[in-house]
Amino acid sequence: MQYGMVIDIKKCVGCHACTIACKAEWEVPADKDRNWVHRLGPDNTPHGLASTYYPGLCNHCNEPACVPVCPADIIQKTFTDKKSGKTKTLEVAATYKDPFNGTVQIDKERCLGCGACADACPYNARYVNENQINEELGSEGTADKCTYCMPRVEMGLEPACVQTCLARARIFGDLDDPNSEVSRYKKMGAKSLSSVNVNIGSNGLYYGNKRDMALLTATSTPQVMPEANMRRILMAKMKPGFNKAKKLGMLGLVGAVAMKGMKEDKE
Amino acid sequence: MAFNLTRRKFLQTATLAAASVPLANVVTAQAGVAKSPFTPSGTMADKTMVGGICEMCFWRCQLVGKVRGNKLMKLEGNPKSIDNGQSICARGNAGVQLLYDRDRLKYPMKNVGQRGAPKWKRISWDEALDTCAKKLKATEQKFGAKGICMFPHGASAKYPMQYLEHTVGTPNVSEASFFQCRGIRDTAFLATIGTPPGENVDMANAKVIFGLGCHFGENVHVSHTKRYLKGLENGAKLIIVDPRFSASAAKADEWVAVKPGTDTALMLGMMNYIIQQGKHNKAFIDKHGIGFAEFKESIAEWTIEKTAQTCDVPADQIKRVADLLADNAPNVSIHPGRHVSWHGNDFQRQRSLGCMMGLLGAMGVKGSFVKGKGPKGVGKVGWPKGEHHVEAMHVAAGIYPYSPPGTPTDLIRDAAITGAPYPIKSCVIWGQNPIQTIPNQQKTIDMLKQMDFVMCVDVMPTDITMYADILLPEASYLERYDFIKTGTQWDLSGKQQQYISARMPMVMADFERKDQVYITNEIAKRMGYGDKIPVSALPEMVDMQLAGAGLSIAKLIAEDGIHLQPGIDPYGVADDLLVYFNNAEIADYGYPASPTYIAVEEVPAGHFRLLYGRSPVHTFNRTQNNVWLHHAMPENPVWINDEMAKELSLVNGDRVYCVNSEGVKSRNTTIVKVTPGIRKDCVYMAHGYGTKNPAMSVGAGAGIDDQALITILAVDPETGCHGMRNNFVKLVKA
Amino acid sequence: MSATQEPIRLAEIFRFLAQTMRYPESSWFTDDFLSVFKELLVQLGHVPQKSLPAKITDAILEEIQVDYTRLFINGVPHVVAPPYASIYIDGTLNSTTADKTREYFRSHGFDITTNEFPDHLVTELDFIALLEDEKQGSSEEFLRLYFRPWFAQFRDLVLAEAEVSYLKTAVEVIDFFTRIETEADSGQAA
Repeated sequence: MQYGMVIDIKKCVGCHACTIACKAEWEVPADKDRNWVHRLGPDNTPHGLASTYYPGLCNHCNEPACVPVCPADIIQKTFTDKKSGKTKTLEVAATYKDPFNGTVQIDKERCLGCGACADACPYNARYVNENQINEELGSEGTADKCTYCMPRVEMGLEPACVQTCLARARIFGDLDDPNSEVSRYKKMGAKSLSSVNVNIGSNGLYYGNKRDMALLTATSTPQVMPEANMRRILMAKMKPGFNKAKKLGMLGLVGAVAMKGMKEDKE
Repeated sequence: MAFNLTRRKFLQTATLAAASVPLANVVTAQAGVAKSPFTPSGTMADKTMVGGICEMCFWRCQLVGKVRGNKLMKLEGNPKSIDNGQSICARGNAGVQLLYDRDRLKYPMKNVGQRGAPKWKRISWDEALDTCAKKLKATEQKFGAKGICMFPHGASAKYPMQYLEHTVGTPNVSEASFFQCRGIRDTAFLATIGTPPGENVDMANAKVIFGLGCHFGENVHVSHTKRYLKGLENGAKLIIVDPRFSASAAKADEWVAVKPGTDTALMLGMMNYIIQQGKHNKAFIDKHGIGFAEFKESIAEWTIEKTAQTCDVPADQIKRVADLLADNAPNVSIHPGRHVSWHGNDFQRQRSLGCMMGLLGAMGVKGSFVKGKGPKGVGKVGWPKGEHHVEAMHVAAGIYPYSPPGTPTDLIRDAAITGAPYPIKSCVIWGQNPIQTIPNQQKTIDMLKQMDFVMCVDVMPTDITMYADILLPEASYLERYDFIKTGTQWDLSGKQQQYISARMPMVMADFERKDQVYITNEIAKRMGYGDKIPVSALPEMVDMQLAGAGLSIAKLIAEDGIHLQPGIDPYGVADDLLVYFNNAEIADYGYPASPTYIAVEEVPAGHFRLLYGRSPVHTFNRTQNNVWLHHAMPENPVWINDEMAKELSLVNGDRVYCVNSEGVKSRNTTIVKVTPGIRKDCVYMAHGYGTKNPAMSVGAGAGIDDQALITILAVDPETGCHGMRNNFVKLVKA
Repeated sequence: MSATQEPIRLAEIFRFLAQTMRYPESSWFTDDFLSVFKELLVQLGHVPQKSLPAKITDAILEEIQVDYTRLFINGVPHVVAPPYASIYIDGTLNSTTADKTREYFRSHGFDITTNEFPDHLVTELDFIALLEDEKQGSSEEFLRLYFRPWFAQFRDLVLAEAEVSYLKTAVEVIDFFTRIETEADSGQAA
């Protein structure tokens, strides 16, 4: 199963309701976003004058750039398939890709708030909520982003942004299910905002007429993977060492010191 | 000042022995916290409150509220709604931030400074109500009821407006929703097809949708937008006439970039062409048309060539659009528009839209002008009419024969400022912000300055509240009962259903906010009209109204906030429908009987015509302090044509002031948006930004207040309504 | 009136401080109240400034009311220092911080009784007083985690902008009684 979202920009009227419903649902700080609507154009395209929207959110990528950079200590996490009850145990840091539903999630309890994941995302889909500080971890805040509203979906509800969309321009579902509405859109040509350098299996797809898609892809496709900070890469590579440190009961301290270093590095 | 000891030291030594009174004796207030058993609250399972009716705009979608503890967390469309369904727009979603806006009015206040430069002091409700009643009564006694004027807006203003109009008896009431918005549409259509049209076009089932200045998507009313989108999905052709490539133009098959102000000419040219082609609906016109021959003759001068030249639109496109309309008639939605107070020639334009409906027979059939048949029976509760009847100024003077209800705004302002025909000395402002809704702000200020008394009732410290003597905090639409919303399913061709819903509070009002019935009744009692009070409280009023339909608040709650019942097929043309192509009555008043184009002033050299419109995240100027909405679109970029920008060396993102042709400069700056999507002769910005009241800590300083730049007054001669697109600006780099 | 020699209780002081931050009205903002306030200052080793009124007159009360309204309720150009934690922590009123504050009240067996928001300065001071009633020193955690993170910003705004000295002084006294004292502070003073 791989959850994905199609946005039909032919239908979208750019009303921004999706962004506000999300803020209310998840108490997102007023100046931060889990999703957004950028207004594009009017501008000339090869297919004529166009004006459209870029309603963006976390794409829950197949190869998420945000996951491997997380420097939090690695733990064994057991995932359960909600349908079959099957379980799978993986070694994960504080952000991971769910092996059953394909969503990328954050373990808020263990997030150090370093912002490495936010830096790594070519879609700018993450932010660090500096007001959510985990005292025990000595964190700088907590990373946050779209969860595809998993707690709502698990209750049988639509994601908040999908529910409120008056145009029914947001379609959510399982891309692995060939009969789903999202798969139907994919067959019709819905495509992700991917480029030569940024091709990480985004599961956010867009569908529209030629001129609108031309404007959307020209303005909103990321062209370069964000340059990963050397220290962060180092941190990521040091993870096995972290595991040992954890066993020795040292991780909290080491982690905190390392994180402070990274923060300075960022500034 | 610093205290040179520690707390521990202090506690060891201090006794407060010298004080004559023990500490505890001067603490009189009850603590705001008390012992209470701990009950952990759920997270996902917040309580659902039914019966919300949105009023972030005036479409009034039906809501449910998610309440955690005693706090509203989220608003959603009521799943039972057959109108908006579970969808609400950005503004609807952001209602939570109006409720908890940091700058919201909390307590009654008295201005102990100057009007316009206020100094506020919190006062008790008793003192506030006593003052309001005493001052209004003094005006009434000295100048008569007509010495009081009112600027109301919104559901909560209806009750006090009726009190002042009916019981106290002043005709001097000016509603922005009429005189600065849709009043012209309503009276022009009354004079053409016998009914105010609302936005009742069956777009969902249309073959062609024709919008003149309509910018759906930027202007969002949920069920209305659903109809529009359903139409497009079903393959309707979309024609958008707009000097700007609007949100709707971007989805259109034909974007007609008309020269601003010439829309009537375009309509006449197309109608003349359709008649010349013999494509008009002769059977319909024969049966329902009045004065068609005169009309036909009157518009014969509007050849395609003349129209193309006047409107600066290619002749081919005019023909194409006219053919598209005629060839798909009668399943054509000629949208009547909503905000139509544009150029001071608007009554004639609105008449021409009604005539186009008649010409195509686009009424009563699928996809055309069709009014849904809503439920009957909801009762009315109102203030009784007093004995004295004062004629409104325009009636007495025999002008503005097609004025919407109330008195044209400028008659009130002029009377107040000049004292003729009579003085107006008290002003009640209720839910309206005349500073940002009425053109020529200085004139509004001059009017207020000469008043003996000004009171404002609002939820937010809007610009106008700076001029109040007494400022009263009102319960918002989420904290009170009132509005009864009725209607049908959104898609007129769907299963025929009717609904009745009444506004119910999602949470109780915080602080000392009060509702309109309390405030009005208390003032009425103190003015000696206590015996005229129709209801003692809001829920009582709602129950009385609902009783007419066999409902009550309790019943509605039991039905999840919305009562549904079988509906009636809305299609069909009444036999007695008349379409006045030529209306002799209008000529009797001295105005053109057939729709006529009246040219507007040309743009002076070096200037652009200032056009304004809506942003999807704002309703008029009411929402600019909403922190969620503000973040979505923090300012209103000024659109300028790319070629003109090049001439002026402006690039995207440059910061500019606007200066109008009378030398008025915008208070704030905004950014330039350079685009091929606007004509060369105009610039455009969204309305609803740039409040001048710094008490609006989110909205103040953000974007340009277009209303401040609209100083040249245009008044539509038939209606007395303002035209607000006859002002010209330059962009000046900041 | 007999002078008590018992050491003063912190709970009583917080209850009094909460009172100082309520909207001043003639029913309680009296000469008696003012004399207690001044005495407290004396005990703090501070000679009351001359700018504190000698007696409460209607004019003086109105002056304080106007300044209070401007600082905390509705001001021009805008409210100077909204007395709510949420504004300083979240940027919005009655948001997450208010919820957390209320949860804290409830987890300690208390709940709000007015239609004020839980994170209002007065509500928080009332709560601190109640905690101190139960056990002296038990408000330390609340002060550290909930009160001080926003109060310091609030205090600075009031000190910079208040026009009447009564309000400035009251905020300074609150600052004194809510400051987190380290061992070093205590040692030095002792």
